Amino acid sequence: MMAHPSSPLKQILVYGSGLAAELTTIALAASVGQTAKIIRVVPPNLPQDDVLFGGIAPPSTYEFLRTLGVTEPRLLLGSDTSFSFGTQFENWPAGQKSWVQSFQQPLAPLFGVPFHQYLIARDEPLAPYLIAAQAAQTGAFAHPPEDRRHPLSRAEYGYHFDPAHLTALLANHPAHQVTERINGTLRQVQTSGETITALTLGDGRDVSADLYIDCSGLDRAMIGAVPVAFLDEAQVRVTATASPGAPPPAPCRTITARPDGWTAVTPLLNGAQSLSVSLADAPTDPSGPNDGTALDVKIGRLEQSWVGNCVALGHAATVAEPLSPAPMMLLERAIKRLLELIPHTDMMQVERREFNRRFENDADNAALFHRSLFTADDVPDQPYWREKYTSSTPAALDRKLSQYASRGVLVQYDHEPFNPEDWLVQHQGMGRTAKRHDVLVHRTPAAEVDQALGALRDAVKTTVQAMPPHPAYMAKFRDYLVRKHHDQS
Amino acid sequence: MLRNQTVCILGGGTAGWMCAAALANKFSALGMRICLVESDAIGTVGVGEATLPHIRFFNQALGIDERVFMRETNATFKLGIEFCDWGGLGDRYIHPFGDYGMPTPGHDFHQLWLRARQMGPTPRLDDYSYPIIAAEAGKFRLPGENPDEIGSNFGYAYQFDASLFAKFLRGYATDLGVTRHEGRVVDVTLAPETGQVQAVQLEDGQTIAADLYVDCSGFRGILIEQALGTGYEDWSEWLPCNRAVAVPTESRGPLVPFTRATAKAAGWQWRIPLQHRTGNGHVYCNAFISDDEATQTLLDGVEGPTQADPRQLYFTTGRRKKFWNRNVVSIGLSGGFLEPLESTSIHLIQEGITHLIELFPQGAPDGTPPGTIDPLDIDEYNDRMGLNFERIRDFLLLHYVATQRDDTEMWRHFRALTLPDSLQEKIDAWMTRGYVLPYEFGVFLPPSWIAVMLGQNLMPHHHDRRAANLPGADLRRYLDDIQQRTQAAVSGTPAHADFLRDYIAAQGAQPQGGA
Repeated sequence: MMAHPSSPLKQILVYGSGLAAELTTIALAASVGQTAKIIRVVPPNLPQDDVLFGGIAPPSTYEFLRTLGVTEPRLLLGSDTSFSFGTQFENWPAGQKSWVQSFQQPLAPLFGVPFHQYLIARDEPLAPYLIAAQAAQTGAFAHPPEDRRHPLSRAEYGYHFDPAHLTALLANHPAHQVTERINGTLRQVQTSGETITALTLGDGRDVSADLYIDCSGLDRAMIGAVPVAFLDEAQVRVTATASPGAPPPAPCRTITARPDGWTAVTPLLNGAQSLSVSLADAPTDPSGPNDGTALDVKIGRLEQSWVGNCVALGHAATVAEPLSPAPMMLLERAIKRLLELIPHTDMMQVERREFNRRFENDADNAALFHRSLFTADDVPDQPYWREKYTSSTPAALDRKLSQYASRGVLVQYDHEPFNPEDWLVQHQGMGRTAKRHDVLVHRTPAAEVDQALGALRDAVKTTVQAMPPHPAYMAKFRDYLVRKHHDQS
Repeated sequence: MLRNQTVCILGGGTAGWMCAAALANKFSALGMRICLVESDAIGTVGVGEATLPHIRFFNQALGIDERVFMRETNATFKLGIEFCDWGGLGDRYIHPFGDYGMPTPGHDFHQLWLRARQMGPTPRLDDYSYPIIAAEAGKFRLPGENPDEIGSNFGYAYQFDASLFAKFLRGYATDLGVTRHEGRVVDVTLAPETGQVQAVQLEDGQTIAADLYVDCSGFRGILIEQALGTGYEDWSEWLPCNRAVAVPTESRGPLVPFTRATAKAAGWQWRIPLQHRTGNGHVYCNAFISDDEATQTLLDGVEGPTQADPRQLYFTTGRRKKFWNRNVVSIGLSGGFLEPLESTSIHLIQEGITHLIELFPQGAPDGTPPGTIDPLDIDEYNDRMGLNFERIRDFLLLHYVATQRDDTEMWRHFRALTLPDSLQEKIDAWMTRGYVLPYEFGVFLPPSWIAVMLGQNLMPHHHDRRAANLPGADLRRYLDDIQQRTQAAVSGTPAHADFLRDYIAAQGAQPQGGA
């Protein structure tokens, strides 16, 4: 049999109207727009499921957006985005357990030994050494300086954002000028085996491309037409509510555990977004927000996110409870991965296989971090907490938890979205202790260690005391940006 | 917590003394007692060693002064490995310790090069690599500190006399209190209830008991295999070379800052230039060549008069099923063997030591007695070392299968081999678009894979599409500039022999032990 000759890949079609679609279109236009035609099919309504981003973006978003031409000044002046040092977990999973899951640079070893080993040996908490966590708790914010000697340089920050505002900002990006935009609904996906051959739109038009990018969120409008399974873990109800005119924003999001689920409050420049998560079939908790839009959502991921000539990105590929910035992290990583692997021809099995390998790694490793938040002895004996995860703890997570419990070892796998510090902060926050510590902490005289730790704590404390409140910093920074913009124009 | 805890290291070769020195450096001050058993009657395998840049971190952690170390071990500098006749007869390339080109925002440098090559005649990728051009010119200097300058983004390693390295570390370790026992182990006692090694008996009647044993007894694996019967995972299916013959020769020609590995009909031959001699060896598979023929091949391929009779070594490529079993940790050849094609032997020793220190058995505040071994420590150690071995295995196999050679039975064997999926996927991704499958854990980073695949004539069909965004003329100017700056940087670099002479003659700090 003669091999099918390959054809050049010339047209890429992005379908969707939300944040994933905007980011993907801009990224494709900027990266391969010179050699491929980018077609954007935009359904009429903004997707409701963008609330699943949880309104929080990780520190990597700064650079990700910058490479797309969306600088921090543009982001701050063009939307109601605010700064974020992380997420404050309240009463999680129960009782008085609270901590700030802060963004953090790697903790420098002390006297050649991993820093946290001293804390395990002394049964001391980590939080006083985490400047982002301390600042978040006092409501202070300032940009980390570049001078690595400054204590604040160890902090990292992300953003709180309203997905609708951010989507609107991105919709005006100049990159869209090089794309062909088609407004319309999708009536039918035409396929041949695993391959999409064309889309039939509501007005009867057929649109075709060589590669189809499904950014339609939970609709999975295109990827749903090709044979691929969704591996679901649980079904939850997510209810989102906007609270305009809320108090001035804190530099961290708050997640509070409830008997039937949890509630997140994300502070924005001009208000707050609330998000309530419970089991899909649970009665509504009167204490939670109940006037918003409710979505019943299957948590999980596609078995493969690239099937045939269709790639699913964002919530179309992975649905995570927005307990962390994982939804945004996974989207950013997926877009970067796609740009690395845009095929040259319609023979794309190598690119597909690699994309799916890294997709599985990303999604499964991020899921471990979330699953770990539900792995504790004091998880409430309530349906949401009891029934959400019925399968046994994955071996990869078991290794992480047991190694930490044994001697504070932070096991990492290849290319985890969450770094060792993220895990350490979570372990400490969840009250996990280590039975033993690295014996090398005893090589340094206790007095020297006391002095070093004391100096670090004092530096954090003094720096945080000198930092302005987040709202005041935001206001001043925005004024500065406006003045600068005015002077330049 | 380590007071009165005891460790017995069995074997005094490179692995044994590296282990003794590192453990003493870390734990002696905490009261741990370390002894090492070795027999002068038993030779060591160390026949001259080429290393990877990581060895510098080992020395630095021990506070060893580089100049002193190089003087004591007759070491030379190493910028990479030259591979001859691997892709095809007459081919040669250098696998450098460093990146190609300069960091280029938004692009991998080799992708820009692939695109330039598609546009028209383009110099070798090697011509944008300072360590390669310097190595080819026989030159060396230490890396610069300004990351924006050519000649800063490379690493270097050493080529040294392994027996002298062991001797050097022996002095270091014994200064820190490591006790050396001379003698051959004649019996090993196992504890009946736990199956752990309880004691080893030496031929002079001495009995040595310890909480933990580090088996550095080489291929024999006296504790890990002979006593505990741990088992061995045989990887001959992938890497069938099972013998080597080695011989030192007098130095000839200029002192080059690289190791050479020349592919042969049934294996490959190494050449490691030291200050005082050259180490040579022929690794081969006895299914394809006799021992006598292999020895003759070696002798035909050396450059100077031999200094000793050729010495034969036998091995099976693979790894111990458990590197750490009960209270025995196998480090070095007792833990596994991968042919030294990419100078990984000492690196694997170093990895074994690093992980052992991180996971060293210790008591717990709950009253667990010192020396008690937690099975979780064993599991973690074995997982980490297993990954190290597997990833190196794939990289070594790449050299044999990324080839156009089919001139002998061995090369035809490799051309017919079905590869592990993990390696096949890497080759496919490279051939399709010059993409190197990324991973974080493992010693060989993308530039190493690029060096071998391009060096052995695996030319990708395409480049990353984003490389086409740079206007062609701009790309040419950018590449020309880097090439010219690379050449200029090499022009100002001294000859390796001159640099080495001046460097080791300069007064350096004395070794600092027991930090």
